[in-house]
Amino acid sequence: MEITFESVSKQYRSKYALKNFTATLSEGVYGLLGENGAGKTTLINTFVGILRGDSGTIRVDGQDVRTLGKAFLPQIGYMPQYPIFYRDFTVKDFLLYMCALKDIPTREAQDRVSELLATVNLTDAQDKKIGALSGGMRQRVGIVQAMLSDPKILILDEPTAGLDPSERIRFRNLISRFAQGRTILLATHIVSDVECIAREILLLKQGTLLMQGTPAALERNIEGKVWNVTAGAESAALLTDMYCVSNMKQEGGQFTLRIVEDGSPIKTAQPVQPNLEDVFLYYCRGERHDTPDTV
Amino acid sequence: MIRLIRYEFIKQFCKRSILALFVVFSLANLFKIYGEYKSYSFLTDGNGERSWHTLHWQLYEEYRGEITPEKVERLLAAYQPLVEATSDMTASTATDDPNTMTGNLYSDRNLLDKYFVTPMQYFYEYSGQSEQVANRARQSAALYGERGAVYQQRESGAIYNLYAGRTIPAFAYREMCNYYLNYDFSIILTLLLCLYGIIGTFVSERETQMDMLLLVSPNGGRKTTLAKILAATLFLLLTSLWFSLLDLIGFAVSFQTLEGLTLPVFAIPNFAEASVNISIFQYVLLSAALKCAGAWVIGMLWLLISMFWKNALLPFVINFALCMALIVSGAACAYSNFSKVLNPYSLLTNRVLLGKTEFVNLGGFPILTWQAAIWFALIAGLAVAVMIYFLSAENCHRCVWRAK
Repeated sequence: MEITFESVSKQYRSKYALKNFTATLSEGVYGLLGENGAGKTTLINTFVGILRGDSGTIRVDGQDVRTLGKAFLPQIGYMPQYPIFYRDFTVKDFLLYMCALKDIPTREAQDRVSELLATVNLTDAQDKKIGALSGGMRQRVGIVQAMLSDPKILILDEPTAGLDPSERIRFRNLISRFAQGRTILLATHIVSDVECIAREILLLKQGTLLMQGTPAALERNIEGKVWNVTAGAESAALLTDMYCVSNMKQEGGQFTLRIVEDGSPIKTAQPVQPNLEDVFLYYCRGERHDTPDTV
Repeated sequence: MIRLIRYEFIKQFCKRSILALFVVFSLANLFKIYGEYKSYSFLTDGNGERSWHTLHWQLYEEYRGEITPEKVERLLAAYQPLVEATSDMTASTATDDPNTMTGNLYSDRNLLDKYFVTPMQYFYEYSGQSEQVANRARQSAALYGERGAVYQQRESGAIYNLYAGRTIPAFAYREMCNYYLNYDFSIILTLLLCLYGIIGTFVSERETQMDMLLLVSPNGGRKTTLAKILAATLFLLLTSLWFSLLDLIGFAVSFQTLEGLTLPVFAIPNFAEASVNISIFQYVLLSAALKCAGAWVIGMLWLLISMFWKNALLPFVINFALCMALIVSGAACAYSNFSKVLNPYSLLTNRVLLGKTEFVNLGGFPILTWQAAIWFALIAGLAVAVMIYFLSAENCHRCVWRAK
């Protein structure tokens, strides 16, 4: 399956939420990275047909989604941002209702729900009310409902927001498991969510696609632009104000700072291997300060 | 579709809060009905030997059924001496007089007067009065015919057809039916419950952010909207029917009888000029149907208004205000036939439509107000339902992009 976005734009009054977005996705997990308001949700909503784009074309296997009409919907599984679902429904009833919405025959629906609940380890909670579930369990219900029609395309909008680390890891593993034979578009601003599982990263800033590539390729792009600096408390505070610091660690009264900057911030700075968080910071940070001479 | 309607019904209306309100309102209604019985009936004085309750039902066995000259004579033979004895208000006021039924002469006279003489006299004289109305209507029709006033001629003809041959051949206890037919409290409860239930139909999808998921599901667009309309219709009809039934059960249990349901509806004084020739039981069914139609069209209006909001508070306030406006305008325009027809609230308090013979002129033909009101309600309700359907979001790329 190949999904092609050709110059897709969406404007709210004079502000572009999405500007000439062009990308091609095939099988695998695609991480859609960007700050809040970067246009991730707009892109997703335009793709699934909730929002009308102002211009551009989206094709699935060469076919314009507009000509596919409703035939496109069974091909996608969608998990919205912060899903609440119906608090009074039990997990099983909710999923059976979603099967009805997805036009899955009743008998087939029962089997599919049981199978997926077992996959996400929620069989014991199937009779619990959704209102009584923890955040992680609710997210798992969210991915189950997205997977009910066995879609070719899975779209997850901030699926790990608000989850504790163990639930986040569990969820990440689930995504990898479901990636087999599918295209998964995972929108997030949490870099670690996509670092290990994404085949490619799409970096969005103010509605524009800044970068698309594998995590390794993106990291290579900023090689020599990430530095380790050891400084005292006063200097560390100054450096934090002046540079984009991706990490700061205190040890024995000394601070070790990880700085993302084109050139060496100070003479004693040591270049280090960039990671995806550094890439994100490098491209998404605001205006940078001039290099100070005093440090 | 049945599957979707079932889920929509469970989702929107089988909530704990709605069920709790259902129980509370039902109990409140039963208490209110019992309060009516305790406040207005004279038969609430227990089962003692000399109580009105006991004596009434004993005497009732004597006078019930076909009104015959023997029964009338027997009743007057018992009643006239009491009237004479109490007319100058000098009779004993003792409450333990062994020569009386209830222990007091005045009480005996009142019992017979209220429960037997007055109703039987009304029943007996009604056929004569209605015959007079029918004859005048026939004469008017002839007169209008001569003058070429076609509409008035048709109207007089319709009045003649309605009133000719009206008679109340049998005597029956009518107190329970009288209070039942004039009872309106449950209408307010029905409206409040329906409003509370309906208001979340579209809004709750936005509040739970399920609207997004619905739009990316094959059956989540207008099919779901249709399922919502049908589930809401089912809820409105069931609620309306339930309170109609509960009213009847409540009155029957409070008054401990179902007597009088076979009487013609014009046997109740308020309905002397009723626009229907049916029994009270048939009236109960017709009234329930009219209430359903009224609740449905008001419910559809609420649904239409609520679909444009993101949370329930504002549409609740607007819809409540709309409801109040309908109630107030219903009362303010009670003398305008067209206002009654156009206001769906008059279908709920259908006494104003069925209790009087009134017509509206539709294309030169006199149509009874209740018939015009029900047709108008059905057409308006259907139009609103169609608007809801087409104003709801469609769920496919083709439609979303076409709307550009």
